[in-house]
Parts: sequence; structure tokens; C-alpha cells
Amino acid sequence: METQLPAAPAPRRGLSPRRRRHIISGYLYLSPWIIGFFLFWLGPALASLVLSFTTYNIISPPTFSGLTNYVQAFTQDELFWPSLLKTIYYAGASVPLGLIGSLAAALLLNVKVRGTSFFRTLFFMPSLIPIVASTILWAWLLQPDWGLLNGFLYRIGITGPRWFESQEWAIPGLVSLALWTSVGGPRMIIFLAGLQGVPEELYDAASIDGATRLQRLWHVTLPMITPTIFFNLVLGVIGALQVFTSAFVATQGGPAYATWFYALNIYYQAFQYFNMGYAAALAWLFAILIVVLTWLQLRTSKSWVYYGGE
Amino acid sequence: MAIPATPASLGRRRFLGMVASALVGSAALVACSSQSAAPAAGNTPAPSSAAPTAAAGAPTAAATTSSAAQPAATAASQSNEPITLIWDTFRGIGTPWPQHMIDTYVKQFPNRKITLRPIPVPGGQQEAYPKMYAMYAAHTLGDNIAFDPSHWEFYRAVPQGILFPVDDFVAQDKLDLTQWFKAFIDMQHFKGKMWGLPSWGWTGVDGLHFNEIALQEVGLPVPDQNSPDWTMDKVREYADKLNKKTGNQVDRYGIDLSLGAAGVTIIARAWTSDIISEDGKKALLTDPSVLPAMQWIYDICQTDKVDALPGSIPSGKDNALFSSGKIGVLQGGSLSVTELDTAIKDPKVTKLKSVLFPKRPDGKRPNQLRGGTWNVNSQSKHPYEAWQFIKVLSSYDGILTFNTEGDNGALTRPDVLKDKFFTQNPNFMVFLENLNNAILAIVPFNAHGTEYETTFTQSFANVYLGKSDFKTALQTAQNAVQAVLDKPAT
Amino acid sequence: MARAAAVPVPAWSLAGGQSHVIGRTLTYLILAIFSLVMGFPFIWTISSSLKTPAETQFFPPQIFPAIPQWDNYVHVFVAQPIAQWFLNSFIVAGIAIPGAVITGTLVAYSFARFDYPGRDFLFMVLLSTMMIPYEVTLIPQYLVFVQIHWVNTFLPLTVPAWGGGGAFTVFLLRQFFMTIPRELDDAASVDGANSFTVLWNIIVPLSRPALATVAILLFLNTWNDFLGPFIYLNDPHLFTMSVGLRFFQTVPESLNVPQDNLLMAATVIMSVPSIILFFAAQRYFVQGIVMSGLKM
Repeated sequence: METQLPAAPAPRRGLSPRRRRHIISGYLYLSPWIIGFFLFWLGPALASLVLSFTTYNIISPPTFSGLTNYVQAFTQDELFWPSLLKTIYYAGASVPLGLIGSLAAALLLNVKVRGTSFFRTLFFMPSLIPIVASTILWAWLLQPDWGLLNGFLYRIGITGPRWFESQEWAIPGLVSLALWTSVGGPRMIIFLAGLQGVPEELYDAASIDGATRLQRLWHVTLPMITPTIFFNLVLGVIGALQVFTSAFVATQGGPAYATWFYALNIYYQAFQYFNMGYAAALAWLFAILIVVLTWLQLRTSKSWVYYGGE
Repeated sequence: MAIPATPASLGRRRFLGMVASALVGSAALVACSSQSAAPAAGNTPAPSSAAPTAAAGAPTAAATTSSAAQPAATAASQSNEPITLIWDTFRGIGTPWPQHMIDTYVKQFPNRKITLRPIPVPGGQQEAYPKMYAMYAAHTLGDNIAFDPSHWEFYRAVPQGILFPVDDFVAQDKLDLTQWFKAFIDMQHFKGKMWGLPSWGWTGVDGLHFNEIALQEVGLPVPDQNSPDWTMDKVREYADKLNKKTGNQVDRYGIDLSLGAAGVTIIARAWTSDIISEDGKKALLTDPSVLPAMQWIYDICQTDKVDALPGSIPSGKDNALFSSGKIGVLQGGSLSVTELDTAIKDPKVTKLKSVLFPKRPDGKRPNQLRGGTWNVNSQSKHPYEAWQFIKVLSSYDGILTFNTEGDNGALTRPDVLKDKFFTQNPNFMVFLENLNNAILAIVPFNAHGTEYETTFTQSFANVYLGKSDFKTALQTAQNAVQAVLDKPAT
Repeated sequence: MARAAAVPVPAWSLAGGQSHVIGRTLTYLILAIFSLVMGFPFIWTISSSLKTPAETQFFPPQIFPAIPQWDNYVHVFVAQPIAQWFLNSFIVAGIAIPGAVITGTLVAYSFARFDYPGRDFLFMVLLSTMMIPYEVTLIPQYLVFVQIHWVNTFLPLTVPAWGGGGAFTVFLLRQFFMTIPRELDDAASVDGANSFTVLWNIIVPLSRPALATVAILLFLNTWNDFLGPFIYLNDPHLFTMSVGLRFFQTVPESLNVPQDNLLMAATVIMSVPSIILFFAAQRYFVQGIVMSGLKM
């Protein structure tokens, strides 16, 4: 008979049958991913690693070039370090703001008022439209001389910045676009789902003890949804670091490389200049960075994430 | 003004696991990549050595000498075997034109078929090339293909042996090459051979589209491009006067210059210079011959501040702003004429009048020939039959309907320009003069065309954004572009 | 401990009666403003789809067309095989998504509830699959699919989803499963349930919000995915809507006769299933299950 119990201390003679069955079951449930991983993922990933040590233009087979690509990235590519810094700047701004925004939206929508489903759908709209359409629309809104945003600022006496025309304001412009498209999007839905998981009794207990709504938010809601916050944080960082489409459509990486993010650099090297080997090197350096960041987040998560089921 | 670029996205996936795909270990990959290797390895200077090796036994295969191609071609063209060609294209799709071309060909050769495989790119042809190269590497690319010279991939495809040379077919068919403008035929040549026939083409952003209503408003006449006082200084004067502001608010930009590589080339050519040397090896941004052009741009953008800078215009929307009366004069070319005419909603706000740039001392006006090609895949098992289809595509009817039905700008044949479609629009006919006096584009020697263009466009922005000193910014741009031109050919 | 109650109520509204009314009005107001801001792009897309080409190019843009051109929608269907493409998108989604949800549940269950050597390492490996940019794996993947003759079929777009549904799916479900108290599992196994019964009768029913979330997000991703269909499908009758949409986009250095109105109409058509699905599935996000009985 199978059980769910985690490992009990092993008996002196190797694993107990129970423990053995437990381990086997664990791997069995994992098998679809293991198979898919080996069949569909490992090969191309290893290939891309191998490619990073070659010169490859898709047309002809790759030719070995050793560490040239990596050396080039660190010493010769004038865009390598700036693109990295700009990407980190973008992520540093958009991730915290995005998390706060989505959480606020989820709290707002977690009400039982009439028509909430309708409101929720409207909130989610920007995610349902192809991002290209949203980006073009946003570019109009941020047009420096006639766009709605600067028009509004003008009315309250501020001369708005030149947004996508200027090097300083291009990234903030893209951050605002990211917030607009993502605040009501999947992140908010995930927060909504997470909010459902907070037991009612905790709220009851808190209000019996005289807690205000703010205190309930801080002491009950937030701790209980830390797994959700953690999830959105990890994925938010990974996604923000890979920012591409909005820059590609709105500014094409400009003006004067102002929005030339790391993923844009990879794309141009891979699919416009056909330096696939170099692009692979860039990609792997990037992957290492993200892995390190994610591992750091996982490590520190134990101190602030609370899993109710453990 | 917008930097010429591709405005749309690839629909990039964020969650790799969902997409996944591929298979079976890097061993399989190494094995398959050596099998799928193109016959031409690296940079073989002689394109003919890249002729299809795998094409099993067909008489048209492995033609490394011109004499081998000739008898094979004749045999095939007289055969009645049913042959199916595959046509991979990203131009003209979504219109009736491709089918019209196929029908014309099939009427000529009833036993043959053509399978159309459209490549729907998200708004820029560049996306099609990775797919085409991957298909070539996998030996699944169609017989009829196109690698456009003006988008640089032509100059990669030829040394890599992707294209089948057509010189022998031309000789054999005694094809009269004067049907097309000579410049467009020249464009089909590279490394001593000819690789296809002209498809789309124009002379670049060599014109100035004036809004006549705006001119009337400021009391200026439409410029007479043949008058001796039509100079670049005059153009600047027009730009200054057409600019309209209310306090700090811009009501109308005076001018919208095209400040990417192609647009600045035109301006440089107004001073009989260019941004790259004739041999394609040196960037000329700080060269004394081109400095007046750079200064002119800087003055309009920063000194007078009357230009609609890139970034203030959502990508690709310059024409929309012009049609709405927000731009006094727009740097554009023949291909903008149709788009502008369709986009103008209110003739009381905008009326189009196209004028060419001033004449240079040598009598020509600045222009840059831009165009495409129709090619034959070197891996094709039926190159001659594919060539016969190219002749249909590039024929009078093919080119004319490419314009009228296929939504493409193909001004590559003089006879086509006599058609009502063009002659009924005087703004179109203005550009005929430049087609007859076309100046070819200069190709970077190392064939890093795309990188050269992108690097120029990005680094030149420092000049017209005015954040740093003019000379410093120009030098930075010069260094960046030169660095690209110095790279070895791949 | 009883599971979360069904009725979603914001924490702050549990306060006293008077602030309830003010709170309600304020909520409506904020919701209305934000919804307008959020819903604006879609309203814009619809209104653009009903304009004439010249109207779409006009600036400053007018929110509503002078005369709505309803036959733009007819024209879209006539111009291209939209119905076929729509069907193809549904087929791809219909095969990929159930696979992703089912296998994702199994894999997440493994990570959440089992303890075996290498588990945490494998979980990191799973997460790391999200960290390699697609640009460099795309061509190797393509070349391998060519070798096994899966190109120009739906196979590359559907089969991989059955390998756990992707790192995102597994990660999300794992997080969610881990919030379900183990005591429920234990209680069930004491009554004689095996691991699968626990999964099916305890975990899955309690995870409806997460499963609904995953299903919807997977749908959006698959439905709107351009790159996969673009690179793997050659024959136009196999195209999905995301690829077919590009037929209405103009290519630079063409005559570029504006067709933004048709493009917007096609976009609206393409967005409809997503909106309907989202609207219908909402109650699963916000409706938990009332678990009676377990007292602690």
C-alpha cells in the first residue's frame, strides 16, 4: 500500500519498501517531463552551447572557433556591457512596480460587486491584444507633441519629456508600456488565484482580535500569498530581463542604442547579422546570469515564503 | 521621421517549455548538420562551384561549367514531363498577383504546376531570411526564391552558393536585357555573374513630398525643381518656413527627413558625396566632401529645430502624419505616392506635390537605386524551368501587375511606366527622371550590409539628437561604422 | 482547518457597516477608471476595424469612424481563408493544452508532494529551461524536426506540450499544490487511498483556480504564438490565425496601400475566443471549494 509520508529514517538494511515505492512514484509522476526534456529540449540546448564555440551562419555548417565569441563579447562588442546595464535598469524598474500594480489590481478585483467579471475582463484586455497593436497605440499616446500623456501634462503646467525621441526617457516610456499591458494580465490572475487560497478563518480570527483592514492586509493576506508573490517575482525577473518586443516595435533599439536591450542584441546578431555562434555565446552568458539570479531568489525564499501545506 | 525598420514583432515566446520542439540529442544534431550542409563551404569565390551536388541524376544537376547547363536546359524545356516547381515568396502574398503569375506560366506550360508557399512576415522582410536559410540548409527551399540586393542578403547568398547563375539561360534564350532599366540589370550582377531578373525597384527616398495646402498657408510657391535657385539651402529655407508652432506646441513639423542609412545617403549624394567609399571599405562620415551634408542635417534638426525627429513618429507612421497635415515636407520616394494618396482623408488639409532634390553639378539628382530580384535556387532540380517562371514574373505583365495587383512598387521596366496606372499620377512621373539617371547603392565590401545599416542608423542619431558636440558625435558614428566595415567577410 | 470559503470578499470590507457603502462606491469608481484605461486598446482596435483606410491613417485619431464599415469584416473573410486558419488554431490548441494541463499536473505533483534524491536539482533544471533565449535553440530545433519529417505538420506545435506543459505550468502548479495542507493527503491515505487517488480526489479539486489559470494562460500563449507556426508550417492551408494575420500587414518598400482597418478587423476576430474563454472561466479563479468537516 502506497503512502504519502516522506522519508522516515531508513532501516539499517537499505531503504524500506515504503520509501522505495515513494521514490519510484515520485519519478513516475515526473516522467512526462523527463522524457520531453530529453527528447525536445536537451539536444537543442546542448547544440546551442556547442554553437557558442563556433562561427555559424545557418547556411553552412558551423566551424570551430574556440573562445573567440566569448572574448569578443567581453572585449570587442561595444554593445555588450551597455545592453546589459540597460536591461538591468529596465528590470529593476518594471518588476517591483509591476508586482505592486498587479497585486493592487487583484485586491481591487477580489470583490463581490456586481459586474466584477466584466471589469476583470476589461483589466485583462491589454494582454489579449497582440502586443504589437498595444505598442503602436502606446507610441501614439506618448508622442511628444500631440500624444495624450503630454497633452495632459501640459494642461497641468508641465512640459512633458520627449519620450521615445529622447535617450533618457525611452526606457521609462517602455516601462510605462509594460505596466499598462501587464498590470491586469496573467500576473494579476495568478494573484487572484492565490488570494483564493487564503483561509477565511484567518480573516475572522484577525477581525475578532480587532485588526483594521490594513492590518489584516499586512498580517494575514500578504504572508499567506507569499508563494504567489515568489512565483510572480521569479518569473517577473526572468521575463523583464528578456524584454524584446516592445523595444523592437516602439524604438527599434534606439534612439542611439538607448533601448538596445540584451535580448535585442541577441536577436540582431542571430537573425539580422547571422552571427549565430556569437549569438549563442551571448545567450549562454545571459542564461548563466539568470540562473544565478533565480538561484539567489530560491535560496533566500525560505526566509520569507510561507507554504501552508508544509 | 521614422528610421526605416521593421515595425512588427515575432510574437516571441516567453515560456520555452511550451514551444520546445526538436529532438534526440546533440549527436543527432551534429549528424544532421553535416548532412544538411550546403554544398558550398564558406566563402568560395567562384559561385559556380556551389552548384547542386545532391540533385540526383537530373540532367540539370551539378552544372559547374556553362556548357553543361545548356544542353540540359534545352532538353528539359522541350520535355512534356509534368514538373512541379515550388515558389517561396514573401512579396505579393495576400493579393491575387501570385496566382495570376502561376496561371500565366501554366498556360504556357500546361503540364507543369507551381506550388505557392507564402512566407507571411510580420511587417519586415528581414524575418523571412532566417527561415529561408534554415530551409536551404535543410534542402527544403523552393525552386523560385528571392534574396533582395537592397536588403543585403543577396550579397551573402551569392558567395554562399545559394543562387543559380542565369547568364547561360540569358544567352541561350537571347533575352533582350534592355527591356529593363540598365541600372536594375546591373543590380542583378555580382562577382562577375548574373543571378536573376529585376522584381521590385525604385530610386529610394529621392524626393520631397510637399503639402501644397501648407505652402499656400505660408505663402510659398511649389518649388520649381528645374529652376537654378532650387538648392539645398532653399530646401532648408522651405523647411524653416513650413514649421509652425504655437508657443512651445508644435502644430506642424517643417520637414521630416529620412535619417537612416538610405535617407542620409541621398542627402550626402546631393553634395556628390556618399557615406561609404566606392570600394565599400571606408566610412565617409567625417570626410570633407560629405561634411556639408552632415552640417545641413544638423542645422535643420538642431539649429533650426524644424525636423520631425525619429522617435517622435511611431514607426512607419510618417505618411500618416503627412496625410493629416502635420508635416510640411516629407522626404520620400516614388513608392510613397500611392500610400500618401490613399491616406489623405481631407483634401482641404493636405494636397500632395512631389518634387525632386536639387540638381548637382553633374546634372544628376541624388538618388539611390533600390530593388529586388527573382532568383533560382542552386539546389533546384529544374533550374531552367524555374528560370522560365522568372521570365514571367519579370515580364511586362508580371511587373505591371506586381504594381497594380500585387501592392508592390516595381518601377523596373520603362514600358511599365507608360501605363495609365503611373501616368495618371503626375507625382509618380516626377521620379522618371531619376530612374533614367539612377545611381547604384554602394555595397559594403565585406557584405555586412545589415549590420552596417543598423550601426549607422543608431550611431548617427547622436548627431541629430544634439546631445553632444557635432564633431564629436560625427566622429563616434564614423568610428562605429568603420568598425563594422573593417570586419572580415563571413 | 477548513479550506478557503467560496465567497471572495476583500479583507477590508470585513470592517463595520458604514464604511461598507463608501467602500463600495469608491471601489466602483476606481474600477471604472482603471477599466477604461485598460480596456482602451481593445476599444481602439474595434473602432479602427470599422474605419476606412484613410481614417485609420488620420492624425489626431478620432475615436469613432464617421460611418462604421461593417463590411470590413466580410472583406476579411473573403480575402483570406480565415475560417481554415481559425480551425487550425483550434486544433493546435485543442491538442496541446489538455496535454499540457494533464502532464503538468502530474509533474507538479511530483515536485510538490514527493521527496526523492535529485528533486531540488531537477527543479532548478526545470526552471533553467526558461532561461535560454529562443534565438539560439530555434534553428537547432528546426533542423532536428526536419530530420524526423515533422516540419509542415502540427506535430512540433503540439507534441512537446505533452512533456509537462512547460516550466511555467509546472512551476505555477507546484507552488499551488504546496499550499494545500498535507494533512488532507494523510487523512485520505489513512482511509486507504493511493497517491493517484489523493491527486485526483484531493489535490485537483482544490486546485481549480490554479488549473483554470494555467489553462487560460496556455491557451493565450498557444493561440497567439507566431514563431512556431511561422517556422514550421510551409503550406498556407495549415497556417494558424497568428500567422494568417500577417497577410494583412504591408511590407516596407512596397506600395503600402494602407490596410490597417482590415488588419484590425482580423485582430478582433482573432481575439474573440480568448475573450470568451477568459470571461467564462473567471469563476474558476475566484471560486474555491468549501470543504466541510475537517476540524483541527
